[in-house]
Amino acid sequence: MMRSRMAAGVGLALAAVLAVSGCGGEKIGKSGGGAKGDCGDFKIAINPWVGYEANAAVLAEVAESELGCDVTKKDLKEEVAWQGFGTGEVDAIVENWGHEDLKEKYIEKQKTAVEAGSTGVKGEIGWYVPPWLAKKHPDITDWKNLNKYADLFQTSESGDKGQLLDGDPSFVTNDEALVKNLKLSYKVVYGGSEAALIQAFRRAEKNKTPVIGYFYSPQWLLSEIELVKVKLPPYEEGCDADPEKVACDYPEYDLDKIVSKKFAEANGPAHQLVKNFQWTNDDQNLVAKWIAQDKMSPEAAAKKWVKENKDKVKTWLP
Amino acid sequence: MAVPVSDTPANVVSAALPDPVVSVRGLWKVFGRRAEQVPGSSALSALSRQELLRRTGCTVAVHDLDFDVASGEMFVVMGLSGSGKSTLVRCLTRLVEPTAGEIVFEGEDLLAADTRRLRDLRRGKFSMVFQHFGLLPHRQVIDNVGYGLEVRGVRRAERIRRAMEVIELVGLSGHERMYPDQLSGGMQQRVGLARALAGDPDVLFFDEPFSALDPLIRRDMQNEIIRLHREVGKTMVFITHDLSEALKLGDRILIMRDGKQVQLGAGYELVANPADDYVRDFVRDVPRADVLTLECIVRPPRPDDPMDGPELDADVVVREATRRVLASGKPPRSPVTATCSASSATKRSSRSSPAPTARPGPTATPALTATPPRLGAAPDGDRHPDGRGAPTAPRPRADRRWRRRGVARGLVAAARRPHPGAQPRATHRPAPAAQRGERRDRRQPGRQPGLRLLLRRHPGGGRRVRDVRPVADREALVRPADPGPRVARGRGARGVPLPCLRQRPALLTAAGLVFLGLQGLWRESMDTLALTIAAALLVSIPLGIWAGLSERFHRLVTPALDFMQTMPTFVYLAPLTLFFLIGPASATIATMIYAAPPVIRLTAHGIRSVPAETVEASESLGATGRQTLLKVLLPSARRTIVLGVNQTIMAALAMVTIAALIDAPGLGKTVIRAMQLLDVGTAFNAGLAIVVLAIVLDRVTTAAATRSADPTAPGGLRKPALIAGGVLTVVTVWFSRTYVWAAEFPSQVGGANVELGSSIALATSSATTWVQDNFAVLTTGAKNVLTALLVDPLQTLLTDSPWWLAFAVIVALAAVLGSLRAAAVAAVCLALMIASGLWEDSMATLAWTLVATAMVMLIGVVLGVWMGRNAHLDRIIRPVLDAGQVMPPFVYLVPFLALFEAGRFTAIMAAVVYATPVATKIVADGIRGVPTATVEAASAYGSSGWQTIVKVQLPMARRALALAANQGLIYVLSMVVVGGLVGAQALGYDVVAGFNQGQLYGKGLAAGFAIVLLGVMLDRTAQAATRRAGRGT
Repeated sequence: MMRSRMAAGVGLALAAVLAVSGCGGEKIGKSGGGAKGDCGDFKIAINPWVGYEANAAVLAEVAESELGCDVTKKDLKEEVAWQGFGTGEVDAIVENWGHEDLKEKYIEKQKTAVEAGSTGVKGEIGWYVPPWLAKKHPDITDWKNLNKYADLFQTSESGDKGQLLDGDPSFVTNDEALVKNLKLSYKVVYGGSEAALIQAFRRAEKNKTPVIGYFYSPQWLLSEIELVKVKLPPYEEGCDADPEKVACDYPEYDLDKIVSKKFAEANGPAHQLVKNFQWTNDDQNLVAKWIAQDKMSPEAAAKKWVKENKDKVKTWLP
Repeated sequence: MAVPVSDTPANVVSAALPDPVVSVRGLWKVFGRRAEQVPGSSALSALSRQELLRRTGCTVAVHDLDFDVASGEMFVVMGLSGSGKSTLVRCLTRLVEPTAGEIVFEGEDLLAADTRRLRDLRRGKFSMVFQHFGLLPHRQVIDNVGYGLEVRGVRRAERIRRAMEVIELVGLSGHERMYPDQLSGGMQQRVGLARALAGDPDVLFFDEPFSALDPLIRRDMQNEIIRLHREVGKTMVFITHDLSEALKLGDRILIMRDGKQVQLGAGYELVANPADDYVRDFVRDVPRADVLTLECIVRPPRPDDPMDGPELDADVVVREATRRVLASGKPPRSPVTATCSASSATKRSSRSSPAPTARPGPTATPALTATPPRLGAAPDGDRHPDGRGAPTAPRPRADRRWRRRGVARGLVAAARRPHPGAQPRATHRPAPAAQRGERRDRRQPGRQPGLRLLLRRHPGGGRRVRDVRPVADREALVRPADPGPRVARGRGARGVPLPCLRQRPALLTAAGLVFLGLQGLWRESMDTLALTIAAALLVSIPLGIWAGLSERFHRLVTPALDFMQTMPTFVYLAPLTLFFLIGPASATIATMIYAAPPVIRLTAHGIRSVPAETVEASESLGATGRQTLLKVLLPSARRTIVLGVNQTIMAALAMVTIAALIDAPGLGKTVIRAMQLLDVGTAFNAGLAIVVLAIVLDRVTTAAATRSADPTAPGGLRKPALIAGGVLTVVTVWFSRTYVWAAEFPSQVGGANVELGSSIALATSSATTWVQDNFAVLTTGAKNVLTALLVDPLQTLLTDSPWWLAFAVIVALAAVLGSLRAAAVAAVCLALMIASGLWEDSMATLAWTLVATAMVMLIGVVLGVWMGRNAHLDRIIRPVLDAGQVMPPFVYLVPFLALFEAGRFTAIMAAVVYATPVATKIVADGIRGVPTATVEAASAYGSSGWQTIVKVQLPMARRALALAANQGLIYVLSMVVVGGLVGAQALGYDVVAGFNQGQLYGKGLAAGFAIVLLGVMLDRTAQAATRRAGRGT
């Protein structure tokens, strides 16, 4: 029985072989592939947030279609991506939020990375409330009034104080110092992930429950829910020098690009493209929205944007 | 008239036989450190066993033995357990290395043989039969029998031919294709015997071969041995603890106690003439009339003795003589040359030399008086331990010839009523030593004819076994009354389910793979599969084998494995990329660190738990280390190894999403990406793919573990099938590399869209949204109440009490629940937590993990008991549990966050989802493991269902419950980091933040260690508590 089944299998395979060799088919390697330039390999780290992905997707699209680069995307956490410069695993990080510590470590000390200019996108960090809350209590958006509303924000995690939901472990936070130094009756609760923050805001807006938390822009959620930023004492140069004594708002970040030193020194077309790349918060939010909400693949979203913004793309080309 | 048996110790007579097959001199085996000092030291060797153990820590197993085994002899070594007899036989084959002494085998110094020579000897000269058979469970009878030939490199055809001969010889024809577990114990030992005979060795060693058998089977097997001994004429050394067996089989018997020789002699000598109280005690219940022969009890005729009674041979046993004497009514006469004195060795070798007609000692004295009580109680010979009745004819035994002798007449056995009280020993006043020595000298040459006689009986010198006798004749000999029914049942049981066993995994695999394709995740799934398998198996199995073979490596690796299993993956994820770069390599290593421990542990365990006898059997047949590993250890441990592979694959799949953080290809990436967008649907789709992969791999590996090749299937087709499959694979690989249609999973068939993934994603998303919208209020309420009632008080207690108080309480609890040792471990762990500066975070984490574990146990016990009592429910729930175990937590975290908000409770819920399946399965298995009879008994006494559960099943499954709690705890702890992602804060968040922010890395690392410390502390305490539960009542 086994033998007959085997024979049948072999026969089937042979039949398939004959059929196939008769009609042929599309060949791998002959259909795809565009003009290959002298660009060579281009390895972009993909940090895990959508804004970053928008930057990277557009850059990759341009590098592939215009420069003929062989683009590899690597999904990496930030610090891991920085490590990749030294080993040659990563050529470029295309949206960097500050990270003075990493800059010191990899640019100053190890000298494996160099800065490659601003992306043109401005990053904001701060405390946000859902729009319905800001509408209902317009004065809640000033930190001076926060103690008045502390009861509103009580949860099982914060005890008798208000809960200030912090979150993404990737972002620097001064919130505990802020709460202390501004004498707010709040407790910082670490949600631990971006997902925890987003879900908290979504839920709050939908069920009209109060929540206040740490968030940032640009972020795709802001195109879904227009979170309202709470005013903190304005940032001044040096007011955040001592982490223990911070009592001012977060600075505005100029999100920039970092490339590996080798990549910069070779200065191929891909490097020039990265260096020239610059756009705006609105541009990024648009692409991020397509990806996050309209569920387009990053590649498709990038293609679409590049097609619609040919003139911008032209200024980036080497 | 109590005259000492002999004026010299009994073992003096053990001295040399000429030209022995095995000759042992001054043999010692001492276990312990510096064992070699014992034999040399007269002070130490004079100590009693207990004293020596107390003073030096050494145990003497064999204490200065001297003896010879003659060619063709059946030499029995008898003693109680612990007397060193099994060690002795292992020394003779060098399975155990003797500490001192000399073993000469056929004129060759055995102890001087190097590994290669020893292997050659084992392959050709001697072989061994083991108490628990030592068969290879994965091989059919014929391959078990042929094993010794196989390791010698004999061709398969020749091997089979020879094996068939021996199988026929031991009466197993027709069973060649069975597996050992399909045979009864007696038949299995026949296989062991056949295996030993297959190599046609000169000497067979038997290590208590029949003590594991039922009495009836044992008797058959003894007869079988007697028959074989007669047919093949091998020299046999037979170990037993059963005196009746020794008496039945042995030409000579060596009695051992505490490693020393107590007495050496023929059976009747031991009975008639016990050397000391130890032997006397042994032989007390032996029906002497069955053992003693007339020569032991005769006296010289007196003038007034009537000399017209029947003449009986000297070697007629007393019981038989009694019957004939009683029938004739006159005292019988018997020609006797020697008495059953202790000098058996010499006497035995004297059978053909004429003895002096008049000899001083033994010719006189009272006769049947020797055994009055026994004679009177003759019928109770039928109740002899082995059920053997009185022999009605002279025993059909090879050894009988040893006793026959040319004889002087004139000695008369008195048939009168014996006088009570006479001592048999008085009959044998020993000859003066000098005279005995002389007699020995004179008789030694006489041994040769006997030997020749033996050889003559067996054409070919006992080597060509199959020629011995026509088959029919052999059949007529002692035939096993051995069982068919068990075999038949085995056949039936295997005949039906096997095809299902083979096809079901195949169908499931096909269905699973098609489903993955339809989900639109073909590529990702295959990446994940490759990563998983690479991580799980390539390195870990060899490591496991190493750990199984080397005790030292095992000790070294065990704590490392504990560490690997509890250390949060985030901690080593980043550093790994420094060493092994980013991407699949690092991801594979990270996955391996997390997932490999089970397969390493279980492989080692499997190899270590292969019965020592099986390994010895292989070694005793001369297998090399490599042969033993490949042919014995690995196949025997296969089930355990496959189980380890299974667990490792599950763990590797659980790592998939984590590994994706350092650019591991595969499904994990899809999940992570979907999580950035909080796209539950897509994440669920990918998670589902992981679950499908897990279930497919689980069922396939489980089937591989339980499958045993079908005895009826011809093995020859496997190879061609594999080759055809391989060719087909190569062809298809070529196609997939050449043509696009062959490389991609089709998303459309005949124009219809068959991609399921997006519909699954969509349906899940809307279902989740619906649940979130409708239950959020309810779940928030539940969260608030439970947090306030359970988590907060415990956490307050732990974190707000002064640290030393919490410290003291935890250590005290560890001591009370576990043991002092556990308390010490707890103290060390807590001290390290304080030192790391993470005391408060550790206590906060401890609080919620304890609550989570309690909830896991609550659900686990309820569900587990239910499943354990209801197989139907089990079938339904089990896949759900599997899914809970392998579905990446990220998938359900998002809806949980929506339902419960970020906080400790969400972490608890995630941990419960992850840990409950394990606990439930263990409890269910425990409940099912309660013997049916016990449950039936409870029902028979009118227990209600509830009473049965509470009073019978749960208490009896106590160990399983403790194990479930322990495992539940470990699984909960492994979710601490995930908990940190959803608001549990404390250690979990520290680790996550450390992974994400360079400047926090140190703290993250410390937090990782703190989690390990918590794990070690709780695990050791729980284990100690488990042991206590297992012991206590």
